[in-house]
Amino acid sequence: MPVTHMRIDNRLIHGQIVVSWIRAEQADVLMVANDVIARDDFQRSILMAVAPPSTPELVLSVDDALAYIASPEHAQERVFLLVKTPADAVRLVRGGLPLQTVNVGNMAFVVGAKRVSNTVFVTPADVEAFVALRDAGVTLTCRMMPTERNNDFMKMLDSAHLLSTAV
Amino acid sequence: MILGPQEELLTLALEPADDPTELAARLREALPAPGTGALILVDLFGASPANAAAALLRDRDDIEIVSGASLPMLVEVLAARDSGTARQLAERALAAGRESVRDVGGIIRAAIHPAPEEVSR
Repeated sequence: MPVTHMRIDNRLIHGQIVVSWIRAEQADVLMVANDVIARDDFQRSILMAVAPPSTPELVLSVDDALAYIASPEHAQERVFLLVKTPADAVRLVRGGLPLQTVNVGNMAFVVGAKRVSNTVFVTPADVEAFVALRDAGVTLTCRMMPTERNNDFMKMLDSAHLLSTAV
Repeated sequence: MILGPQEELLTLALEPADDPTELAARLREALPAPGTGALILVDLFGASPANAAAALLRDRDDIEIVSGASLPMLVEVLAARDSGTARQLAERALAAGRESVRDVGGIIRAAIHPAPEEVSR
């Protein structure tokens, strides 16, 4: 299982990731899969500069991330995978990435988004993507920090009355 | 409490629900006209506020960003702010940050109980 942890986080690499998650998951590689940033030299350099020196970092397009993880050469690597949106997570799963669990970290408020928790806000399109992940057999959790328990994210969506409209 | 009220000093917070790109926008709006320069102090290197500040470097070459923000650092740059460019203030902030990290327990214990060779002199 090359991907040890997959997280949806609109902040991508930030304090919680750098300080807590990388150590907790003992990742060999920190990977960001995002088409826009992979093409943008400036944003890519910022992300590369802030990664912890102990962990090599890759900023790849979603397709390149799939190719990297599928390559036999990297079969033994423990990859900590970050995406900004649930839609990108769906692309990875549909592209053949074997994932049992996807953790939802930060999803900042955007116009049209509804509150799920203090740090997670979802749009109807996000909810659709989460349902698609669930239907693909992926368990969705919601943990800010590695020490938190595994909250069932689909239950949280349901409790916030956000699930019924999309299903 | 230490230096009194300060002008041209702005504090910005990133709350859990906030979008860091929105913080970058607030920072951009708060900056003086290009060429005037500004020093941005942030806490953790690689954290969202630091990354939001770093995003400003795309269009602004006259700003400096220093992480590890501390009170000693802030006091140093506020006291020196009229006497230097943003780059010079950044250098002072870096030095103040490094110099302010001291082993208080070790220093006081050494003063109370000097090492034996010092006693014998």
